[in-house]
Amino acid sequence: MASSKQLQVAPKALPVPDRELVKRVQAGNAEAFEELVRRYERKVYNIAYRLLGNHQDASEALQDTFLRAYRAIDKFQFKSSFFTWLYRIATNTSLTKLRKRKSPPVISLDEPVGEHHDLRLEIPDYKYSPEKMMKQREMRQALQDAVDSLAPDYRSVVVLRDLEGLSNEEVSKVLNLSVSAVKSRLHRGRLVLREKLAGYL
Amino acid sequence: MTDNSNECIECNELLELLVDYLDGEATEEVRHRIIIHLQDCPRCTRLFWSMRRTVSYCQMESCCDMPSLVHQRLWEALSQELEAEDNQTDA
Ligand SMILES: [Zn+2]
Repeated sequence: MASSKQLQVAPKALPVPDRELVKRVQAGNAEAFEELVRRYERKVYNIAYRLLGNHQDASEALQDTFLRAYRAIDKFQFKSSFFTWLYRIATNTSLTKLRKRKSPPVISLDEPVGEHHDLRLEIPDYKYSPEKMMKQREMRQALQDAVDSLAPDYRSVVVLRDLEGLSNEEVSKVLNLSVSAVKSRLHRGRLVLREKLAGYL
Repeated sequence: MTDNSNECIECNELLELLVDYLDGEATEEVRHRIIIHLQDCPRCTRLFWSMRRTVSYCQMESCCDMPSLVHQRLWEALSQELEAEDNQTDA
């Protein structure tokens, strides 16, 4: 039995670990899968939405991700965490959708960015004002627009790392990249975001 | 640009190291080099601060709200899938 001190910290039973739930699903327990969906639907949706830029596509990608995960879960071998595996399916599903679009609004990042670009930055003297709320909405839109303008390879890194808060290590597992490749894509992606958001920050 | 090449290399190098620095993962030595460089290079200093603002803004602004309709559709799709599976197992 846990001590009373521990009980105060965690009055409810500890949540079942992901890997335990996965084992149950593999043994035929569909409810365990529902629990995994409840745990991750918002995160998966966020990733899809950030990668695709609209609710309609993100909603489809969300469904596809979990259906694929369910169909493939028997093959999950516990070599990685469940969530990196799931995020990989989510990212691949979203990027496939993105690439199928007719004219992707993408800026090529093969050109060197940053150093020889205009590094001057005009920072508006922005203080609290009645327009703050509107400004915030504008900024949110500007952020999504900036993310939308990144080529898919950079977009996925920036979304997972900066928007979803994964570590470089975790991003490298999700995307099957080396950590140094993650860092260099991250850097280039951030340079673009910085340029696009310069007027807002 | 009229920078001499030495400065350019330094600035380029700094850019490479900025990811680790911004993420708090740079070694003591790298941090020291970056700080020294920033003291002498207003251009990189501006870049550094704007990168830092950008990254913290992104990290703060992570969550978009999932519309309830999206949640509903997902669960409809799932229950179809799970039921189909059930029927197969029963048959
Ligand atoms: Zn410099």
